[in-house]
Amino acid sequence: MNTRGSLILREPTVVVTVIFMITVIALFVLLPAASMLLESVRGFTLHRYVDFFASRYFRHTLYNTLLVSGLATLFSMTAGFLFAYTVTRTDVPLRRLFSTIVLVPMLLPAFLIAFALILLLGRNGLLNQALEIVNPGGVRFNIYSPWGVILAQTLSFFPMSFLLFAAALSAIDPRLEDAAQDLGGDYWYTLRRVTLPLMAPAAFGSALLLFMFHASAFGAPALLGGRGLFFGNATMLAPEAIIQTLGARSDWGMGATLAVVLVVPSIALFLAGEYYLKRRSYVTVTGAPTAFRPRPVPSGVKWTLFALCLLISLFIAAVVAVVAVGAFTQTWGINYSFTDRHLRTALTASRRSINNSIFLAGSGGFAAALFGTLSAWVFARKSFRGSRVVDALSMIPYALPGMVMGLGFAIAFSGNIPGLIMSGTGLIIFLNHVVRRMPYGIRSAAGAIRQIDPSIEEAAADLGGRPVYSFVRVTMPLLKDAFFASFVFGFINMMTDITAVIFLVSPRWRLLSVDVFNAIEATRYGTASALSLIMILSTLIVLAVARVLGGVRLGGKEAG
Amino acid sequence: MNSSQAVTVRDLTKRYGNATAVDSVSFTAEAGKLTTLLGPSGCGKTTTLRAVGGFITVDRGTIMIGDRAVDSLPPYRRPTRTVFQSYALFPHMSVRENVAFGLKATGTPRREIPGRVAEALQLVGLQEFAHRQSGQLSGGQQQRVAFARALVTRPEVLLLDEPLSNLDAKLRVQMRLEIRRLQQEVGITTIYVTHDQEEALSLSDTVIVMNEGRIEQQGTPWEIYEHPANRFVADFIGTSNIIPAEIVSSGTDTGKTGDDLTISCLGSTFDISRDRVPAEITGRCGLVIRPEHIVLGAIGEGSLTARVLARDYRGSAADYRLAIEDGTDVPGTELIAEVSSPTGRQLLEIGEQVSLRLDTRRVSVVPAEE
Ligand SMILES: Nc1ncnc2c1ncn2[C@@H]1O[C@H](COP(=O)(O)OP(=O)(O)O)[C@@H](O)[C@H]1O
Ligand SMILES: [Mg+2]
Repeated sequence: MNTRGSLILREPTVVVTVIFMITVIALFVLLPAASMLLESVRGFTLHRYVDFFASRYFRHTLYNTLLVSGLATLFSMTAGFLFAYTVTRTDVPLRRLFSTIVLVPMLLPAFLIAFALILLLGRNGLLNQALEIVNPGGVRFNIYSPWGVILAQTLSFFPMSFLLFAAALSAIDPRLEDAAQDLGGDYWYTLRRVTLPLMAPAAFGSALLLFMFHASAFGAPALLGGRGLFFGNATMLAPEAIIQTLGARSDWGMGATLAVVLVVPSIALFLAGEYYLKRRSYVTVTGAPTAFRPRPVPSGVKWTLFALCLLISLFIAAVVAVVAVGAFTQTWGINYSFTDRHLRTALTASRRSINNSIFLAGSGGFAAALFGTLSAWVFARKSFRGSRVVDALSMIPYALPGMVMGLGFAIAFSGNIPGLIMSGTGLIIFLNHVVRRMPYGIRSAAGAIRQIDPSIEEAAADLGGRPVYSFVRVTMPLLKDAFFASFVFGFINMMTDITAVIFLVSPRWRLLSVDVFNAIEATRYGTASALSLIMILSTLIVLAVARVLGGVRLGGKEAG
Repeated sequence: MNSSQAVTVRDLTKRYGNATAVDSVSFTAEAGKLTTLLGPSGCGKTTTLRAVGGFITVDRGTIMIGDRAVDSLPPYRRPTRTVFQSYALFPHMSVRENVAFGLKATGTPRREIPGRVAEALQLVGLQEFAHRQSGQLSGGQQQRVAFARALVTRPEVLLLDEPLSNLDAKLRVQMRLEIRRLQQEVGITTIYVTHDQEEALSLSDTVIVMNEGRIEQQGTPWEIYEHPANRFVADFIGTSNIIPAEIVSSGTDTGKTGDDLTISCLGSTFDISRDRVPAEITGRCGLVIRPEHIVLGAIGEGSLTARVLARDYRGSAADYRLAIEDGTDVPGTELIAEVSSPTGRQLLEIGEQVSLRLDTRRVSVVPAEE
C-alpha cells in the first residue's frame, strides 16, 4: 500500500541512488543519444540516410568498417587465445613475463600504438630503414594501409580476448580432458573435440566485444588509413563522422547519421552477446581441484607457442621503447642524437592540457568508481520494483562507442536545449567521463559483491550496527579493491581517451590526449613522443599507487 | 567383448615434493574380478588408480595389464577406462555424443557406432535419454552415462574412483548393487576406489586396505572383516573392540588339540582356533571382538558384569557403550556391544547393570599396542 513512503524511510540510500541513477541516465545517456538521433533527421527528413546509402563513398566507409573490424577481430582472437593457452596450459619459460607484457597494450590508446607503428614501420621507420640497409630499393612495410590499421587494432585489443580466454581456460575442469584421453583421444583429438568446443562461449563473447570495439575505431584509421582502406579511398565510419562534423564541412547532421549507422549494429551485438552469455556457460563443478593438473602439451606445440608469444611480446616492448626513445631523439628517421628539447616543449606548450587531463581523469575516475560501487551494492543487496530495469539502463553507455557519446554530448549541450549549455566547459568533459566509466565501476563492484556473503553484513547488523555503520565498517573495506580497480581504469581510460573528448575540448579546456593526437597528425613526432611518454608515465604512477593501496590488477579497456 | 586382463602393480611409488603419496605398493587385481582399494582420505588410493590409468608419471614401479607393461603408454593408448568421481561428462555434448566419444576417438567404423551406443545405453537403462544434454540429468543418471561411456569401448580394465560419493544415501545403495551387476554381467577387471568400508565389503571380490601410502591387508571381504591383520584394519573396518590380552600357551603345550591357543583376557582364559592368530604374534596382543559378538544377558548369566554408559538405538539394532565393573583385573575397560532387533524388554537403560559374555569363536588377534 504505502510501500513507497515506507521505502524512503527504511532505505533512504536506495531511493537516493535510484533517483540519482535515473536522472543521470536520462540526462547524460538518453538525452545525448536522442539528440544525436534527432540531429540525423533534423528538418524531419530521412534524406541523410538516403544520401548515405546512395553514396558510393559512404557505402565504402561502411564496407571498410565491416571488413577491417572482421579481420582485426579474427586476429585479436587468435593472438589472445594463443597467449592464453600458452600461459595457462604450458610450462614454457617466461610465462609470467608474457602474462604481464600482454597487458601492456591495455594501458595504451590505439592511436598511440598506431603512432609507434609509424615510428617502427613508417616510411622513415626503424624496420624500413633496416630493410633499406639490407636490401636497398627492395620491398618495404607499408603501414599506411588497411593492414596497418588491422595490426594497430589487433595489438591494441587482443589483451582483452586474452583475459577472457585465460579465465575460460582455467575454469575448465581438467578431468574433462583427462576423460577425453582416457577414452582414447590423443592431444589433437582432445583439443578439437573437448577443449576448443568448451571455449565456444568465451570465443563468442570476445568476438562480439572485439568487433564492437574495432568497428568504432577512430585513432588507428585516422592516422594510418588516410589514403583509403580496402574499398576506394574511403576510411571507416568513426573517423568519417569526425571529418564530417569537425572538418571543413561542419555537417553535424551527416556526422550524426554516420554515428547512428555505426551504433545500431553495435548495440544489437552487445545485447546479443549479453543474452547468449547469460544462457550459455559451462560451469563445471570440481571436487578436488588441487590434485589435478591439465595434461602436458606436446613439446613441438609448446615451443611453437613459445616462439609466437616471444615474438609478439618483443613487438609490444618495441612499441613502448620507440615512443620512449623518440621523446629524446632529435628527428626520428634522420637524426637520432639525444635531446631534451621535445620534453621541454611538451611541458611548456601543453602544461595546461596535462593539468586538465590529470585533474579531470582523477576527479572523474573517483566519481565514477564511487557511484559505480554504490549503485552496484544497491542493485545487488536491495530488491525493489524495477531494480532490474535500472540496472540494465545503467549499462547502456557500455555499449555506446565513445564517438557516439562525444557527438551526442556536443549536440545535446551546445544550446539546442535552453538551460543546458555546457559546451566549452570542463564540466561537460567531466560528466562525459563519469557516465561512460560508471558501467565499468558497476561491473567491477558487482563481481566483488557476489563474493561477499550477505550474512557478513547481516552479522554486522545483528551485532547492533546501524546500516550506515555496517556499510562503512564492513561492506566498504570488502569493496576496497573493486573501488581502486574501477578508479584506476577510469583514470587510465580518461587520460587516453580521444574519440569522445575530441568533440568536447575547447581552447580553454584542452586535453593531453588531443594534443598528442594533433602532434602525430602534424608529424611533429618528437613532441608527440614526449607527450605520449608523459601520458604513459602518469598512468603507470597511478597504477603503481593503486596496486600498493588496493591490490589492483589489470582488467578493462574501451574503444580508442 | 575384450577379454579381461589381470592388472599387476609392482613396487609403485609416487612422491609429491617430500611427501610420499604411494609407497612401494604391489598388488594384483585378478582378471574379471572387482578389486577395491579401501582406506581413509589421503592414503593414496586415487594416486594409485591414476597411475594405472596413465594420468600421472610414477617415480618407481611397473604396471602390467595382462602380460604387457603399460608404463610408457599415454592414457589414450591404455586399455583402461575410468569413471571419474565427478563423472566428467562433456557438458557440450548430448548423452549419445558422450557415449560415442570413445568410439570415435579410437576410430571405430562409423556404421558400428549407433548400434554400440544403443547397446551401452541399454545396459545402463538410459535408452530414452540419448538426446538429453548431459547437464539435464540427475546425479544417478550422469553416473550411468559415465559407465556407458566407459564400457562402450570394451576396455580390458575399468577404473572407478569413488563413483558413489556424489549420490545421496539411498541411491548409493541402489547404484552399488547396479555396479556389481554391471561388472559381473560384463565380466570386466575392475579396480574400485572408496573410503567407505561398507561399500567395499558389499561390492568386492578382493579388498585392499591402504593407509598412508602402503597396503595394510589384502583379502576377501570376509577375511578382512573376520581376520583383520592389524589394529589399523580392525579399527577401520566396521566397529571393533580391541582389548589388551595375552597368549598364555599354545595348544600343543597343554596337550589339547593341536589347533587351539589359550588366551587370557579380562580376567579369564579361553581357547581360540590357531588360524585366527597370525603366526608372528606371541605373548601380549590385542583381542579384536566385534560388537555383535558380545552377548548380553541377565546378571549372573555371563562371566562379566558391566554398567551401561550410553545407548544408541537405531531400530534394527541397539549399540551400548559399557564399562566393565567386576570379574576382571581391569575394571573400567569400555566395550561397545550390539544387540540386533532388541525387544522392548531387552532395551537397557543408562546406568543399568548387565552381564556379558564374549563369543570367543569369533574373536581375532592383532599385535599389541606399541
Ligand atoms: N597433485 C598433487 N600434488 C601434491 N600432492 C598430491 C597431489 N595429488 C595427491 N597428493 C597427495 O598425495 C596423497 C594421496 O592422495 P590421494 O591419492 O588423492 O588420496 P586418496 O585418494 O586416498 O584420498 C595426499 O596426501 C595428497 O595430498
Ligand atoms: Mg581420492
